[in-house]
Amino acid sequence: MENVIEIKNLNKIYDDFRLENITLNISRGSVVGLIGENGAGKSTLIRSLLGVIKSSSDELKIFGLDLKTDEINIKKDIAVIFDQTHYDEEFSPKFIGKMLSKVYSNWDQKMFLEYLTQFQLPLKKKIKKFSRGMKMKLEFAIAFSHGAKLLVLDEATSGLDPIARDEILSIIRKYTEDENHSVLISSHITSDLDKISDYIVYIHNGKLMFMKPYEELREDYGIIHAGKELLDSLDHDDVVGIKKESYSYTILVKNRTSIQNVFEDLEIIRPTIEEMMLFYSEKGVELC
Amino acid sequence: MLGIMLKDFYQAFCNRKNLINCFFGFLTYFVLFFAMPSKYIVMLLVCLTIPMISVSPLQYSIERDELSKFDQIILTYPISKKKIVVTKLLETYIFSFVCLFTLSIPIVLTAVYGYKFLDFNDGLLILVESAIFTLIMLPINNAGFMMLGNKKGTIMYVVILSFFVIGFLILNFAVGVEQLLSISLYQWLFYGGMLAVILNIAGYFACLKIYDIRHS
Repeated sequence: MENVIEIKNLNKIYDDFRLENITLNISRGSVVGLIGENGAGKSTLIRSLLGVIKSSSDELKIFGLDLKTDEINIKKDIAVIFDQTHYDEEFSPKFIGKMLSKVYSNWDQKMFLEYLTQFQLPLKKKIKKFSRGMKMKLEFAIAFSHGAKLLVLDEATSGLDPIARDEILSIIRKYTEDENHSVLISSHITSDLDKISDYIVYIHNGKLMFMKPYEELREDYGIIHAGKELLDSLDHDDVVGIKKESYSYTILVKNRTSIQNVFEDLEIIRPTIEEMMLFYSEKGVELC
Repeated sequence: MLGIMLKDFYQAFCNRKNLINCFFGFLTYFVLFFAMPSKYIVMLLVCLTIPMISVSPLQYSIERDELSKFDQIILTYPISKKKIVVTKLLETYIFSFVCLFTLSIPIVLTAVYGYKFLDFNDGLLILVESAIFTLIMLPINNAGFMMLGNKKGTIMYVVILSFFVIGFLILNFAVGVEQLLSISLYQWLFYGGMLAVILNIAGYFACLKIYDIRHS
């Protein structure tokens, strides 16, 4: 399958933080959830990917084009939505549409107006009078009005109430019905990612811990609460991490189905993304 | 480029606070002239004020962009950093040109043909001096605001303006402002023009470098 993003050994160094040797490929038509604790490097990765900040890499391609040489052509087909709107609050959607029609050569003003109607956003009202949910919907209306093939969301659903978040997720789902559309979404609200992600990328302390299909994480991985006897009887290759509790162990395993076949009465819980993330990031966890 | 220019001019002149500032600024400009019509006032208004207010579009847009953190989104647009810088600098030159036609020329023409305390050659010389000073001050102010941002840039602007005003006062009391009119048009065009060209080229590259460093 064709890749929409190809990154090889991306590095970004700050005085007190390093994003190191990030290598990943995102296939066209997929929804990739980017997770990690605060300060893990998610936003740094996104900004490096977009060329907003300088970084070094062996390869950084989007839509098969090199970001260093084809930045303008790449950005025509990318839409980025941050956690808050960065337009002057004195602007109205009407003015923003007028402005962006001169920025994007592929801007579709008619489509923009249709999205404003669909999202029930007033055309001439200044965005300082919009609610947070309305501002996010405006960002989506903007994103969809220049035929963007890659949608990048950096904590775009944070601060929204559950109803607004659900609406936004529906919008994203509809966007991805077209196989040419891809989404990279960074979020702390892992329950949102549980609902829409095809892949999960986990960044921890500037390093890529894993990139796996969501279904694989849900089907193959499991959490077992057990004593030392059971821990010793597990195949070491199946054990991903061990956390010592007061009187037992919490074990993150892969090959959940095989283990269940052997230990039929054993309760193996399917982990959520949040549980996996907590497991990887918690102190006292011995990763195997 | 046009989209960014539209945004910046809208912020500079359609924002209510800025619009009121502009209106009263222009009003003060004409009131001063008509209240005290003299060669000195014409030189003060045309040769000092215009060069210093020409940076306004850049200052207003930087102020608004800092509030909304627009810089975070502008770099995701299909526009290069070079084009962003060129657009912002061009806005100040366009504004200077507009000021020349709406403020400087009417004042000078009124002084030459209305009040008649200025002859045509002196009027033309004053306009040339104004253009030279504008082209000298613009790159300095532009680079200063790009590097320092709105708050510190404004402090820098006030300091430069103070030096300008002090210089003008010293020139007026020590030597006489008319000395500026004793320098020939061709000398202004040659030496002043050369300095303006050098500063504008240096200013452009400085702004480009500053913008690149601030957004990397």
